Amino acid sequence: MPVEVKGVIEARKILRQLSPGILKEYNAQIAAPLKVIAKDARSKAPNEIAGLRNFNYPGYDRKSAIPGRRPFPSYVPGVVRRGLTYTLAKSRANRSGWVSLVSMLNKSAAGAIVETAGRRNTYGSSKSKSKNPHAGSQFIGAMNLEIGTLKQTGQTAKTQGRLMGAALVENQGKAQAVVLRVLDQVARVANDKIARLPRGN
Amino acid sequence: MAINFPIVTTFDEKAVKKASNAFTKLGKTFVGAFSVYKVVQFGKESIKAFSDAEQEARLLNAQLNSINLGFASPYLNQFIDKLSLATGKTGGELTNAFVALSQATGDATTAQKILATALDVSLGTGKDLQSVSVALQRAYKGETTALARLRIGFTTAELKGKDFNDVLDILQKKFKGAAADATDTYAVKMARLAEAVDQAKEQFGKGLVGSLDKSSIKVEELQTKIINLGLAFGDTAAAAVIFGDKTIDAFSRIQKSSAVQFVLGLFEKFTRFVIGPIVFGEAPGDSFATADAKRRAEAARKEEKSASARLRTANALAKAEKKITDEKTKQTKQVDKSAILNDINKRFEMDRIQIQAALGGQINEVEKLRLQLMQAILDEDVKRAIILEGQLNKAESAAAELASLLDSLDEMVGDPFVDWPAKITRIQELLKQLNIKIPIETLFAEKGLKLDQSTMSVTKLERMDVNANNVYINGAMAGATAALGASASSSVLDAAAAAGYRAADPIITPAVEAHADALLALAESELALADLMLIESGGMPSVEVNVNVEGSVIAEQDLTATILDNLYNYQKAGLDIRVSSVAI
Repeated sequence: MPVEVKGVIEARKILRQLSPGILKEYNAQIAAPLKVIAKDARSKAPNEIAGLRNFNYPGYDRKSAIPGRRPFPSYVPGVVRRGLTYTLAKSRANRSGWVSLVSMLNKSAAGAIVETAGRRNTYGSSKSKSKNPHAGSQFIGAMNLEIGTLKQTGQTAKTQGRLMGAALVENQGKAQAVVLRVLDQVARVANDKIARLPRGN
Repeated sequence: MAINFPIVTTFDEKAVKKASNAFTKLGKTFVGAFSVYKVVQFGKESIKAFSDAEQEARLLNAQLNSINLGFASPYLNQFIDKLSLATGKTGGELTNAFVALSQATGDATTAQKILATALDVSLGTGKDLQSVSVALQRAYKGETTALARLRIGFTTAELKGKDFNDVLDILQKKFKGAAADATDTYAVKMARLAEAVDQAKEQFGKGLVGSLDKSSIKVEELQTKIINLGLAFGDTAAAAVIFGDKTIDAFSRIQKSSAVQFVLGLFEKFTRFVIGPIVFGEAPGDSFATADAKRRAEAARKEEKSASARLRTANALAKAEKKITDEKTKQTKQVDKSAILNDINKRFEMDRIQIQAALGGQINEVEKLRLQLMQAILDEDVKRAIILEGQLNKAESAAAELASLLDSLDEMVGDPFVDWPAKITRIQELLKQLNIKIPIETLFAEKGLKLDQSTMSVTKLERMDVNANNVYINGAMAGATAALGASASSSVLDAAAAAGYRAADPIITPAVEAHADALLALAESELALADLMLIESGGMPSVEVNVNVEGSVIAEQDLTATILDNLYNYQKAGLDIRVSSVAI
C-alpha cells in the first residue's frame, strides 16, 4: 500500500539545482531495494505459459484480425522481463491530485496482461467474444497455475498483481522502509541547503 | 499503458491550484464584466430615475397649478421626497396620492393631512396607498362606498351617518403610529433605503443631465455614451495591463541595452576599484559584497563535495558489505561440503580405527573415557573433550579410591572394628561405576582373602583353585592357547591342574589365571633371553630359527611365549630344533 509523504518533490527540485551529485547518490540508495523487487518479479516470469499456445510467442509477430489495430500481444519472456522495472520519476497527477514518486512498473503489454488477468473477473468476462465459453477462465487458470495467483498489495483491486504485485507482497514493505528513510534524508539535506543559502536567493 | 504499483505517493497541490486559479480568473472576469454592466445600468437607471422624477415634478406642478397651488410646488416636492424617505413609498406613489387629494380638497395643507392619514392606513393595513388615498378623496366628497370597500372597519351604513372629519379622526386614532411602527420593520427599512438610492439616482441623473445639458448633449445620446463608457472602462483596464507589460518590457530592454550595460559596468568598476578600497579597505579587485558570498559558496561547494563523497563511501561500503556477505555465504556452503568430506575421511584414519576397535572391546570405564577423549581430541571437538575430561577425572579418582581400598584390605582383615559391609558396598559401587566386570570376590582372592557376601564377612584365603580353561588374554578368551601355555610353562599350575582340584568355589576367575600366566611367561622369557645372551657372549655360533605359524595368532607376546616354551622343552628333552618341528 503506498505511503504518502510531503515535500519530496520540492526537496528533489532543490537538490537537483543545488547539489545534483548528492541527489544522484540518494537515488542510487533508493534504487537498490527496488532492483531487488524487480529482480524477484522477473524471476517469476516463466519462459512460456503452459496451455496458452496462442499467447506464447510463436517465433513471428502475429497480425491483428482487424486491419489498423495492433494485434493481441504475444508472451515474449525477454520483453516481459525487461518491462518489469522501477521508476523514480514523478508521475502525472491523477484526477484527485495524487502523484506517485517511487513506483514499480510492468511496462510491456504482455506483461500487463499477465500481471492483471483476472483482476476484474476472476473467471473471465461474460462479455467475451470467444467461441469457447470457458476461454477466460482457462486463460486465467493457466496463468494461476504457471505463475501464481493474484496477490494484493493494497485495499483495492488495482493493487493486485501476479508478477510485480506478488514480488511487492513478498517484499513485505522492506523496500518501502528503505525508500522512506532515504527520502527523509533527502528532505533533511534539502532543508539544510536552503538554510545555508545566502540571503536574497 | 504500464501497470504502476506506487510505493511512495504525495498530494500535488499544483494541479488543484491550477484549476482553482482558472476558476478564480473566470470569476474575476465575470465580476469585471458585471461591474461594467452595473456602471452602465446605474447610469441608465439614474437618467431614467431623474427623468421619472422630472415627470412627476412636472405632473405635480401642473396639478397644483390647476388648483392655484403652483407656488407651493417646490416645497411640496421636498415634502414628498422626505415622506418617501421616511415611509419607503416611492415618490411617484406619493405624488399621485397627493395630486388626487389636493384635487379633491383644493388645499395643500388638508391634502398633506389626509395624505398622512392615508399613509397610516396604507402601512397599517397593507393596502395600496393609491387605493386608500382615492377612497379618502371620495369620502371627502361624500362618497363613502370606496372607503367601506377597503374593509378597514367601517360599513357603508356607519360611514353614511358620519362627517368626513369624524371619519378622519377615527382613522387617525385607529391607525395612529401604524406608519411609525411599520417603518421600523426590515422590509420598510429596505424600501426606505431603496428610495434613498432612487433619489440618489435622481440626483446623480440630475447632476449628470444638468452638466451635460450645459454641453448641449441629448439624453438619448447620453445613454449611448454611458454604455460606451462601460466599454471604455473595460478597454482602459486592458490598456492599463498592456501598458504595464509594455513598460516592463521597455525597462528590461533598456536594462539590456548596450549603453546601459556599459554605464552599469563603469559604475560597478568604479565601486569595486575606487570606492571599495577607500570605504571598506578591501583589496582592489575584490568586491565587498562578493567576498563573503565567495567564501560561502566555496564552503558550500566543499561541503557538497564531502557529502557526495560520504554518500559514495556509504554506497561503496554497502556494496562491499554485500560482497562480503555473498562471499561468506559461499564459504559457509563450501565449509558444509568440506565438513561432510572430513567426516568421510575420518573413517579411514588409523588412529580413529584403532580407537574405535578398542572401544568395541571389553574395557572398563576409565579406559573407555580415555579412548573417547582421544577421539574427541582427534575430532577437535573441544566441548566434548572438556566433558569427557571431567568424566575421566571422576573415573580416575574413583579408580584411585578403589585401588586404595583394595590395598588396605590386608591391613583391615585383622581389625575387628572394620565396617566390612560399608567397605564391600563401596567397592561394589566403585566397580559398577568404573564398569569393571571383575567379580568382587576375585579381587579379594587376589589379596588372599575370602569374601562371604551372605554374611558380609572377610577371612583369609587358605587355598586358591585355578581353572586353566578360562584364561582371558586382553579381554578375549583364548582357552586353547592359554591351556597350551599353561601346560608348557608352569609346573606348579600343571601340578595343580593335574591334582584335579576342581573349582569348588566359583570365585576363582579366569582373570587371576591370566595374571599368573602372564607373570610366569615374563619370568621365563627373561630367563631365555639371559641364556641367549650367554650363548652369544661365549662365541657360540648363532642359531637362526625360522618359525612358520599356522593358524591364528591373537597377540605377539603369546606367540613369543609359546615359541620360547617350545624351545625350552626341546632343550630340556635334549632334542634338536628342526625345520619341521611343530610347536603347536
